[in-house]
Amino acid sequence: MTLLAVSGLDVFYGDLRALSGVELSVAPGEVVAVVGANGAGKSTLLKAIAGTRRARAGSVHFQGQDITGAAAYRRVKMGLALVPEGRRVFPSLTVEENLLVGGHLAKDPKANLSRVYELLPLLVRLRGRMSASLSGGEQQALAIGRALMSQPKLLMIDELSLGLAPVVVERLYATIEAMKQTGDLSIILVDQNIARVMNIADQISLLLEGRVIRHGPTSSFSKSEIVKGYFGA
Amino acid sequence: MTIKILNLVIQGLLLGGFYALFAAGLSLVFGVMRIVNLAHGDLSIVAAYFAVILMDALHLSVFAALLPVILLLFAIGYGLQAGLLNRIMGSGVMRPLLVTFGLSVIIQNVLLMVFSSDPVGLKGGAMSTGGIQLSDSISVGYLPVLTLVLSVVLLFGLETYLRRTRGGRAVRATSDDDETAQLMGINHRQIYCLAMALALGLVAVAGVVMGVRSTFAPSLGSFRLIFAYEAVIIGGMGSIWGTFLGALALGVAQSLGSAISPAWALLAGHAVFLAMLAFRPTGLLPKTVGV
Amino acid sequence: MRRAELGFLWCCFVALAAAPFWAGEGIVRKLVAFLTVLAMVQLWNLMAGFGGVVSVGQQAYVGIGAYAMWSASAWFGISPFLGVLVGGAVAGLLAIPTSRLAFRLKGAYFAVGTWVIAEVYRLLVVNFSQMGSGTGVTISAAVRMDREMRGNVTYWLALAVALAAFLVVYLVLRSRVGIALTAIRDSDVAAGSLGVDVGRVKLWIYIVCSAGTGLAGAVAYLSVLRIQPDAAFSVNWSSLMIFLAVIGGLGTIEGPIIGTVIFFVLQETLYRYGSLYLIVLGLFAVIITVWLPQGVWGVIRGGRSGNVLVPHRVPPALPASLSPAVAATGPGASTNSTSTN
Repeated sequence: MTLLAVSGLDVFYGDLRALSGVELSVAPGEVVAVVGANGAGKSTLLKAIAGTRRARAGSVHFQGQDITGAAAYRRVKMGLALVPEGRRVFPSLTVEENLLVGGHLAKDPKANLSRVYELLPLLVRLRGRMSASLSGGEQQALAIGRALMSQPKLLMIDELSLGLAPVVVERLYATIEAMKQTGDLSIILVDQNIARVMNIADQISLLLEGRVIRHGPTSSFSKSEIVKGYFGA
Repeated sequence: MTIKILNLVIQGLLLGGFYALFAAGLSLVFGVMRIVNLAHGDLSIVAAYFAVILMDALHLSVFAALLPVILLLFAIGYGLQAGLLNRIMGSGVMRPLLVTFGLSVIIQNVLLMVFSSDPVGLKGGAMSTGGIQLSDSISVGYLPVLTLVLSVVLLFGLETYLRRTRGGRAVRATSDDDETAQLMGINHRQIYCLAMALALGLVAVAGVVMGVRSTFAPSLGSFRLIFAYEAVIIGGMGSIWGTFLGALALGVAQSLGSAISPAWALLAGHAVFLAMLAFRPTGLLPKTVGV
Repeated sequence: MRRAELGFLWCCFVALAAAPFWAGEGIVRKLVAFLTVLAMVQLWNLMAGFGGVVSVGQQAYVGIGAYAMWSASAWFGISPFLGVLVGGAVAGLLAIPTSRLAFRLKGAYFAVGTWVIAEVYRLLVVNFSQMGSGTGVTISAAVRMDREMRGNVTYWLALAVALAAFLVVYLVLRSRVGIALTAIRDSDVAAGSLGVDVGRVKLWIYIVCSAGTGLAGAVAYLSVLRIQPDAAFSVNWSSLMIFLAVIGGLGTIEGPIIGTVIFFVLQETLYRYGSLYLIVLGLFAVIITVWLPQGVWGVIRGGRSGNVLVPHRVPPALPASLSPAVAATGPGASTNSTSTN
């Protein structure tokens, strides 16, 4: 039983082909890492799954339902969440307001709020702060917490550790590990931190110039193969 | 002399309260969608004529007519956004400007054909004529005071809605970043409709108050838009209380200018606007937080 | 441009230039109105359609041009015909301080700002008794002239202004600046990456178009002989410029011609119904903006791209070093830069 099934996905920016014939599947509780060079189409793939980019061809199925044409906000209700590249916290909202917006569709946002504070305790003392005044790491934690507020079944994180200090990255990965341990959340992870990605991912998809050139269990990849993947070789 | 100036300032502040009713909606719409609705002022005239019709046909008092007028303008705002403007959102600033400018000209000329250019007013009874004598040379009318109170109450209500409710937070999130707001499950197009509907609801109140204060005619809409716009720019583009402050400043400037001549009332208001552009383009209260 | 097209344009020009010899006074007067409006629409189209500068305040320069022409004649005894040039020059000069203020406003706020500034110019004239205050002025020097000579020279001036407007658009579009303008229309960032100072280009276009609008306004009022501030500074001038450019086809050199023709046909058929023609034009403009943004000319032209009258020059390719970056992030990529690590 797959949670997410992407097949034959083509995405264009104008005349520019960003993705061609991409296949991807994610099983419940699985962590899948999407690896590739800058411009390989990782962000585009996540956006197409989240619904902020339209596919020109191919399909996206979530829990057996065809969501290819569904609006982004409808996909959230079904259990998809994306932590976008660059965090994209709402700068004029406080930390807690950001989280509450993340729980826009939740039946009981207060309950979700306490769960998120439990998972990301550093947000508790920041709750009244304007999110624009947070450090990059704090913003990333907030962006993850905000995405979790909708109680997703599939969480997608774009560029988890980009621009963050190593110690912050370590803490974020510990959080992801904790989420993985609960077993009821699937994750698609895009990140440049090879060691940590290989450590946490069950499956890896290697993207090159908009195509998936290899997909398989993490154990089937050698580290040098992944390194080459990042450089687009 | 001092008393005379004090009187002018007081009348100006009261006038500013009236302008704030027009400006708040313009500011809200720009904050959420980055568009300026050039038909904003003309729609306030539509609201006033609708009140005329209700009061004539159903013999309603102006208070009884207010609620249906608000509901109508709310619906027009929602429909305008859903049916027309949402089709061109996200394609830059030009197309919304062209469309709302077209609407402005259409509305103004249709009103002209239907109601002619003869000025009409709304009967407000004792409230519109009575006042309180503060001193020998200073008296304030009930209506201007009520208008100022009403505008503070409505703006406070709007702020509370935006700060404290789920829908209001969704509006502010969409204002910050509409693409990311969609990732939170927010239907941004619906938020646009809501913002336009709220803005025109405020415009409805403004239009009815305008009709009670003085007579009006179809061509007045452009002036309403320009005053609302100046209040927004003077106030600092995008914060509710900044816009309120801008409206007060504009009112005071016009009131002081009116001591010279009616044309100077307008010029003094424009002068404050231009001086603001020249020396403090961020306005009185630049946007820091929220819509 | 091909030989046949050039020949056709020459024939049109000769026929137009000879209009006073084959057409009656009424038609010549209508042609003056047509040509002056056409020039204004063409210039507004250059600003908005090519440069992305949307102004709702160009009536300022119609009024300034007309009043400057009148002042030159009434105060300094300059012939009203030469006064037209003064009108254009004063409009261009006043466009400089005006733009300094207006360009501080961004996007949608800019448009309304220009409108407010046009209002300020109107109010200044209304408050200036030497300029006839609110009741307006008559161009007496022109009234005293031989009627036929005045009508003919005014007509040739109108033709010259309209041709000059076309020439300006044509030259601008063929120049380096033209490529920059096309780039601005697509994206300020892209234009910046081509090494184009977007702000300066927009400013210059604004000033040139305002001067041209001043010329056209002066000629238009030379034809009607009486200037009133509420009419000369009326936002209805902007309505015409905007609606006709949009209806004809924004960003094309042919669009304004089509738009202006549609306007005159409508005005002739609907003149009995007051301002109905404005309502119809407004409806057309709204419908076209939402559903047919390429305008009537775009529909006629169909799929073909580029202007027929202006040979399309291929913009330089993006520098090779830039292309992969564009491919990587794409036009819709994140522009948010809130990370503060």
